[in-house]
Amino acid sequence: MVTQATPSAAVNERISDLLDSLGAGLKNAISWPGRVALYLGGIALVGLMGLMVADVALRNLFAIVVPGGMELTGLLTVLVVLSTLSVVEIERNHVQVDLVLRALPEYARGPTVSGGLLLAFLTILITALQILAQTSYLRSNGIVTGVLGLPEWPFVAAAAAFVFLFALALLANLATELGAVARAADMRSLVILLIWGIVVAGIVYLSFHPDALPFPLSRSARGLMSIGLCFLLIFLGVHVAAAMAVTALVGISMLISPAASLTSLGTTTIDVVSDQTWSVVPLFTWMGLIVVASGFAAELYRSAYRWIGHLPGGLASASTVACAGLSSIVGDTLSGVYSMGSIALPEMRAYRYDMKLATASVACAATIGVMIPPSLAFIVYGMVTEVSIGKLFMAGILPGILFTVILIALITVRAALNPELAPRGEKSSWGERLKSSTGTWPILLLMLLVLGGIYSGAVTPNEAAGLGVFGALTISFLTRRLALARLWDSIASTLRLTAAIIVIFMFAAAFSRFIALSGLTQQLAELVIGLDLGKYQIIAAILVFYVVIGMFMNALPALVLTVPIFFPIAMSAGFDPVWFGVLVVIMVELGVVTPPIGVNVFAIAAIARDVPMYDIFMGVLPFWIAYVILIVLIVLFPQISLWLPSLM
Amino acid sequence: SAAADGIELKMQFASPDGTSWNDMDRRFAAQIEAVTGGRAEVQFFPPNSVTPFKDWLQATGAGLLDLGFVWHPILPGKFPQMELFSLPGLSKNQTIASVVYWRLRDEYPEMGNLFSEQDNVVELATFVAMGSHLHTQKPVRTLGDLKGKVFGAQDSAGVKVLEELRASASVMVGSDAYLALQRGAIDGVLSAWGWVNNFKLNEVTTYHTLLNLNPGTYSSVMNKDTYDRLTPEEQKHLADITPLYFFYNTTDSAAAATADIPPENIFTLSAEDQAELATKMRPQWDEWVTKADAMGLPGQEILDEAVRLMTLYDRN
Ligand code: NA
Ligand code: NA
Repeated sequence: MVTQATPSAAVNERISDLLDSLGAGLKNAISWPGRVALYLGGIALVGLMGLMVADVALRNLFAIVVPGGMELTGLLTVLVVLSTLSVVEIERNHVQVDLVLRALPEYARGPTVSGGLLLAFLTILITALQILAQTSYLRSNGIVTGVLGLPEWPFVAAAAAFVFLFALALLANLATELGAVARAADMRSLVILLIWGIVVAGIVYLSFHPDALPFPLSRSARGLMSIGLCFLLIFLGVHVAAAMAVTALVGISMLISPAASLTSLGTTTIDVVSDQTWSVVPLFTWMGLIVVASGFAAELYRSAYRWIGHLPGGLASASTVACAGLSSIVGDTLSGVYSMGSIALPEMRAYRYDMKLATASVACAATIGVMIPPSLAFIVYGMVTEVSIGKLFMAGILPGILFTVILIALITVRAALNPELAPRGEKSSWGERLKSSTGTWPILLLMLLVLGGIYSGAVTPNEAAGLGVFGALTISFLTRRLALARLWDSIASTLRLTAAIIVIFMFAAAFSRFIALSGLTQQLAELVIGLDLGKYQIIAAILVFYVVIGMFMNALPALVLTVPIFFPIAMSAGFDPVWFGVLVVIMVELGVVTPPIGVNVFAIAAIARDVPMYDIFMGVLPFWIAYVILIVLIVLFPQISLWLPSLM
Repeated sequence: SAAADGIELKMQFASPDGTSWNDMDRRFAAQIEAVTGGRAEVQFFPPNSVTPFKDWLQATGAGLLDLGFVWHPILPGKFPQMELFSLPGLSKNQTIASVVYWRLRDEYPEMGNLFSEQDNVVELATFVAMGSHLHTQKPVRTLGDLKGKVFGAQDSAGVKVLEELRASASVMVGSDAYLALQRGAIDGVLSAWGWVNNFKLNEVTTYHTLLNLNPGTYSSVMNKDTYDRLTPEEQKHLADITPLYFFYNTTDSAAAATADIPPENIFTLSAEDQAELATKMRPQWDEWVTKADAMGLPGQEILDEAVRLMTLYDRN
């Protein structure tokens, strides 16, 4: 039978079929390299754990170290962190902010997603080529690792391959998305698509020909323009990582030159993923997933539910305490988010908690870990300001505990006012409570192993993470709670989660290099100084500044960039250097839960995939009160932070 | 004309503000601004904000920075000839070792082939840094005290030495070393005094054993395109002032670090221990000769000449 379709509809049909099969073909083509990468990453993850355990065992039993243990850790981290980038993209699980996207009408959404994918594809492709250039630099200069003398280039070549696969996955999704747009054949969609095409072409062209800018612009205007671009792209739903990457690329290119920009992109990305300190993220994630897969986490929560489930928000409060405990083992907040997120969220979901409350309480509770030592943020502050790191560590303890109490109080009040947020359970008998507690020994044992190891000084956080995984595996196998298939699932999930978050850090580092070069933080500070304010107005102004910078920067880069500027101001205003350090660290931690770029929220979103990013940020909003209360208390009663250090 | 153009020189600090390294950088910058009659203006960036140590050379070549600090040990394999100066026991004094290096460059030009066309930098000056000492929580008076202890070291050469002495060690950056010491994960750190100042290791260590091991080497470099924008006269001035940069570096660090340490907490090895140390380190000297031979350099000859010059200058 002859179709009644118009010729143009037939053409549309053919174009969309073509795009569909291109997308499907690409997905097919990268599916086996993707699987190979996944296995490689899995082997590297197991190797990472083995290396940590071997190092601890050999050192404590025979006083010897695995030669080159640290550099091997760094090299394995490259494989662990990047191997699943393409798999995560095919599954459409890279971090995006869907705020505006969700509000767009149907005809605008498809082309906007397509435009974002096109930009991401080109950016990631350029990154892959730059990492390849870095491979040849390392190879031709004969650069090896320090202790073992291993050539570094094969690992960097693997990184280039993984990032290239990521680019192909983006291209596959782009083809599929374009196919859908073509099939709909809506004129408005095509116009939006055309605009995106022109804009993307313009951005990429400007990255390589910054002189093509048709009008002269000052350095700070170029900086502001690039930051504006970054915000806009993120809000339009472009991959957060890609938005920061393209901003760094075009930004540094306009400030200095394309060659400088490309070199920065290639070196920075590799530096981040080969940094052995990152190994705590996959390892603690894996430990958490094993504990979940074995059902131990469920038992802990069943028990917590028996004990305090009848109180308003009892499980969220229990999560807060647990999260504080675990995050205080490590120096950063992310590992806490991952391990507690993967344990606590499924349970709170099972007990019908409001997911906004559930996700936000974990995201905020994890920031306690940076106040309680050890804390990378205090180390950075101490380095920059010459303030005693030991005193800073002491100063963070009481604010950390206080914040835990404030969070729990806030959860309880909110749950009491609105019982639907956290359904109250029935009160259990003492017999039931005690009986349920017997199932919690594996987790308590792991906590003891990890916490005890670190505080006794026997192991570093990295090693504690490795031991934690080893301990979780051992207990699970001995109690026959973990089948091999589930074990592999836990490895694959760990790799996926790690890739989705560390790719953001990779480009956040490139982005913060651009911010540094733009000199914008400097200018903002000069603005504050120029206002000629009184003592408490200065602190207020600085705090407001940190709220703004916390919107788009990570905690550590923000510290490195801003403390050298504000510290002298605060000192000349007569503030205590330790006290000021505590305030600043709390403020940059507020930034990790503040939109649009809040890494803790991104991490939670990667775990709770069905909860929209928007909802999590909205869930965090009430917890802002907790930060405000904490800050106000510390400003009014400096002794909260200064009492413990004064005993030293 | 070119001479009338202003030049912006981007430079990054190596350590936080307030440390002697940064004062040294500021003095150097002021001198550059002076010799160019104010045409050049130096802009400083905080440590690690534009590039980490590892990529400083690439960052300078690419123009992210105009003046760069290249710490050779952080790029193992890139400067094999410079590993000569990291040989344990070879040099006793930073100034003498640097002068010996410059003499060796006159005699063996290959010793000065540090940067390639691709690196796109102009070498301003190259120096030997200070040697490493042991900074510990419990006293280490003899080599025997090292056995079975765990250390952090500032570079891989230090790890090799400590393993040779039956201690275990791994490379650590300063901030990690602080944490590890505080938690008792390591017994001490093998590093130069500069680290003690800049990473506050004096807060977490009490005793200091003077070993003067494995000094690293470093170069000050300038982006080649930026250098070409200087007039021949400015280029000559730059060459004249750069050794001063080094001079400041030698004097401040050790004095600042040791000022507050009671003398009874600083140990020197006995003559026997020093001899044993030298014997144990000998194989590393031979390894360097083999490596230099493989590069087509007269390895043994250069090493012998280095020893001769060190002794000669040390006597004067
Ligand atoms: Na902590
Ligand atoms: Na933020």
